[in-house]
Amino acid sequence: MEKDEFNRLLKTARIDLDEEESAYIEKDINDILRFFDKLEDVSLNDEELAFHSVEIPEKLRDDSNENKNEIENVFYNGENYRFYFLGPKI
Amino acid sequence: MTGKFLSLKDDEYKGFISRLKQANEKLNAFNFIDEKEKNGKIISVKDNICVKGMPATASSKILQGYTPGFNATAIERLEKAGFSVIGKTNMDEFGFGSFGLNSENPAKNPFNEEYVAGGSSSGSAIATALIKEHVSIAESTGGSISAPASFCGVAGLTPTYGVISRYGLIDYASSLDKIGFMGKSADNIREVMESTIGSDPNDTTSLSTAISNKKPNKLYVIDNLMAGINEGIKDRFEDLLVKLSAKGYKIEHVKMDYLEYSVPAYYILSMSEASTNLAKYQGFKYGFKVKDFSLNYNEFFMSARKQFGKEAKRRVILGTFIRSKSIKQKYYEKALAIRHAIIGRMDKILKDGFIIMPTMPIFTPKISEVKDISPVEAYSMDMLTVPPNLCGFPHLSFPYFYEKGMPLGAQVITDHFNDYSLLDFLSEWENDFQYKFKEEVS
Repeated sequence: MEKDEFNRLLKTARIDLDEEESAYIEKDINDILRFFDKLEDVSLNDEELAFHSVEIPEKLRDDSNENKNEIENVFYNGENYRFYFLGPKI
Repeated sequence: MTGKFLSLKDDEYKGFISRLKQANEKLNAFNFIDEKEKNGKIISVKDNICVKGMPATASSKILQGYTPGFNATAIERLEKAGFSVIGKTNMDEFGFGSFGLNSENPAKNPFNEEYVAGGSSSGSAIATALIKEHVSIAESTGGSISAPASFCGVAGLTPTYGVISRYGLIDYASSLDKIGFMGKSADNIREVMESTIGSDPNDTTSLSTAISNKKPNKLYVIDNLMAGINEGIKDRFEDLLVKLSAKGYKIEHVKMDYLEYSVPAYYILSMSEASTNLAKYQGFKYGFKVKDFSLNYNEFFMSARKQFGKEAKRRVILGTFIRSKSIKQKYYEKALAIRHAIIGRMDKILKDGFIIMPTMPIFTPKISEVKDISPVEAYSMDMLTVPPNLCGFPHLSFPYFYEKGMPLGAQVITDHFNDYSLLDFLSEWENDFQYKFKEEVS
């Protein structure tokens, strides 16, 4: 991965690195991708994709109105002021 | 069979806490010890599982200050069964590590402090080794129960994926995370497991399938997986096979395709899932708070994520890359296909036997020997613990030998939902095996 592509990736991942971190993490990322490239040796075109390791039966919940004290949960551990939850500007 | 757990009378509690804190100063087993007196059977819990009113940090700076207002389902069920949580155990940040060193307070081996405790459930293994009649509730994604259990000389059971609800677990990789147990007695692990299993409406991947205990008398050794293992480990493992053969087990050697791709496949899937699971840490809800509200959303988010450790940053960056539309097929889908191929092959032989192998490919290393190894070298150490974890098969690491005073572990793997057979195997093994511990806190 070239430097420009790495910098674009940092932006997408929303990770801010200082110069020193950036140098060694960029090298690590390229080493790890070379390790992942080992998968190119294997052809598995007809193999199914296993999103789970065991069969998970589809479970759907009925829509229902329940009193779940949602406001209390949203405010728990968060910075809040009266009825407001403080977050960044969008 | 009922287990035997440490329960303390009111006047014994203070002394116990003081001895535990003293041991913790040397070994870094706990991120939090609860000084409030407990009435029930004492257990500890990995710091990525929520316990109401106790801090839950997953050893990450980004979660400093987070205290959940609810119990994980596993903890809720254990408290109902009479268990009390003594504290939260140290771990590699979010489970990202095999040695217990990716934490602000690196974990140390209870047999010798110069050596690693293993990871990521490092503190759970140390607590189990240290505390009398103890079980620790741990968690494994790619080997986080087996590796520290092996290095610290305790038993570690990783159940079938879905058998224990993940509700209240701080997630790393949702299709791979499994809550499990460490202990020094099969009866204790069985009692804790029986109290936690079963479907949970809060986790749609949890299952209510009955757990069986069909213990086979055949042990399969996968020869191609043994390549790359330290020669000394191979020799000790051969001795173990001789012992098991004398107990009546039939040993059969086989080869299995695709296993050499399991480690890259595992890291591709786990990093992809981690990069989305960690997106919830934005600096205004959980733990660390960014106070500068003049920042725009992206700046705010990036500022919060500076709190991640270097391994967490690496995995978020790589996971984001792997999920890109243009390369999804090259890495992510290929890894899913490899998982499917390996499940099919392991499943076939697990129908009539256990798979057995050493737990780790090396003897317990000194902290100084592994603290600066490259990520690829570190990931490769998971070559034996990844296959059962990638495929959700239940497995048990058990101690079988002490090499120059340090414990060695082997692991047995069985078919999905046959978890209790592993505890029957451990029970039988414990008849002739004496666990060794330097000290026990009681």
